[in-house]
Amino acid sequence: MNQSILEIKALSVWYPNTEKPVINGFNLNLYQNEILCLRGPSGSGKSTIVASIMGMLENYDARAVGNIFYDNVDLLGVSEEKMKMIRWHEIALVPQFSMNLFNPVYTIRQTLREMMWLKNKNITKTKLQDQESLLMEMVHLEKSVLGCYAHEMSGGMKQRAAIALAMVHSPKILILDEATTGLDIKIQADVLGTILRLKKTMDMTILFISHDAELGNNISDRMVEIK
Amino acid sequence: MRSKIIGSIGVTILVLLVLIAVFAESLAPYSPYEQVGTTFARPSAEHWLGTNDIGQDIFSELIYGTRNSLAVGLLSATIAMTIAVLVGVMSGWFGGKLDRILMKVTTVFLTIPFLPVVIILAAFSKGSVWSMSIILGVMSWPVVARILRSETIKIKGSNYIHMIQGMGASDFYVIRYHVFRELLPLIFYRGIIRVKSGILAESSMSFLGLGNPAAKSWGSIIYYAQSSNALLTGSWIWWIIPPGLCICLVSMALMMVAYSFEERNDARMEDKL
Repeated sequence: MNQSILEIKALSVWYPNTEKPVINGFNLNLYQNEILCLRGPSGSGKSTIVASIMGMLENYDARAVGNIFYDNVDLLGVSEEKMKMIRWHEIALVPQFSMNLFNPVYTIRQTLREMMWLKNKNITKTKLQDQESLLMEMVHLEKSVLGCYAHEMSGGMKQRAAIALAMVHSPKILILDEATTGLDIKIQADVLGTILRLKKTMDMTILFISHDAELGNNISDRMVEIK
Repeated sequence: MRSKIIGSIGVTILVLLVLIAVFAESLAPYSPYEQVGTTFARPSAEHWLGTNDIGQDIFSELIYGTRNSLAVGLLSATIAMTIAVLVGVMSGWFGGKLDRILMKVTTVFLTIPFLPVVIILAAFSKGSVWSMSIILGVMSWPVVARILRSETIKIKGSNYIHMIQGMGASDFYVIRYHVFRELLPLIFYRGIIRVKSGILAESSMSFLGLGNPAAKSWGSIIYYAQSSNALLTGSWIWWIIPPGLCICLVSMALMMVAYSFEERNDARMEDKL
């Protein structure tokens, strides 16, 4: 078995005004270059685990105890400055509703370029063009999609564009939070194909969050149930 | 399509009025400040809208009045929108103590009765374009600030904002390039409405005799007509109706532009859903 890349130890998370934790003593090991499916019914706290890994619990006023180790760093205790170097750069997320991942007044090109620019403010125009073409190729989207706004794309295109966005900084771990929920079978297959291709070609480690056991079984190397 | 036509008509009327305001000196046949005819003269080829109680050409007054009325409308809207954007966005974005303080100030301004306070302040000021604009601007921002605050809170909760912040973008960057850009249609729409309200308020103030007596505006023309008993002498037809129609016309044009803009924006929103 490959080396562990992310380790969650005794994670418990509370939301404001609730006595019972939504996650109680959760443990998980994510190994390099695997697709791990984290499965559980709605409300079981899957997205809370994602928010904990991404250091985004503050957005929900939630508090957590336990440890999430990534590269010998405890993500729950790390400073926001350090977390900014990890979030999206090392660990990227494709959320359930990818529509919300795009500014409605920005085209896909503008969004991708902004992400690249935020990482490297001295990036040249040629480099931006090369990188955006590469990303489109990676997720099997036409280059013309770059000029589209999020609302002009189909569900599958949006989801693949969201994956491209998450891949801007070539992260080591990609988290897909119900990334295929609500899509029809054909589009689901398209998105899953993209995920498998990424794992194979980019040596990615993927945490696939889903409530669908069958889907999880089909795509993942390993499945962890959460109740 | 229909809203586009309505919007085009509104823009055309506004452009014409702005041109009239800018080129008032060239367009007006007489100086509106000088006696150029007999008093209470009926409309004629020489004086298209007759003359007033001191023999000034009403048509020339009307043309010069466009300048003051539009200037007060635009300036007061700019002042009101600047305060509203600053208060609304800062309050919604930073939250916490700053939000509580700014919203308390907003609530205080909301509880102040607009018209009586504006009348009192206008009575103490000299009634110039600037003082009138500042009074109207400072008194009319709170409602827009509240709307912008709630929109900012909504935008702040979006995934893409979390993502950009997570990437290390500063507050200033996110507000400048994302929040403000998303708020722009709403700011523009509310701004148009404020211009209209500013023009109507200036006309009301001038009609009440609280404007600058030396400056020509549509409201002041009606004020002098009314104080010279135009309604009793029959001269109201050429003395009160034309400035009244101008006020209606500019309000209608602004509302047409606002309506068309709102329709186009709604259509775009529907496409997104």
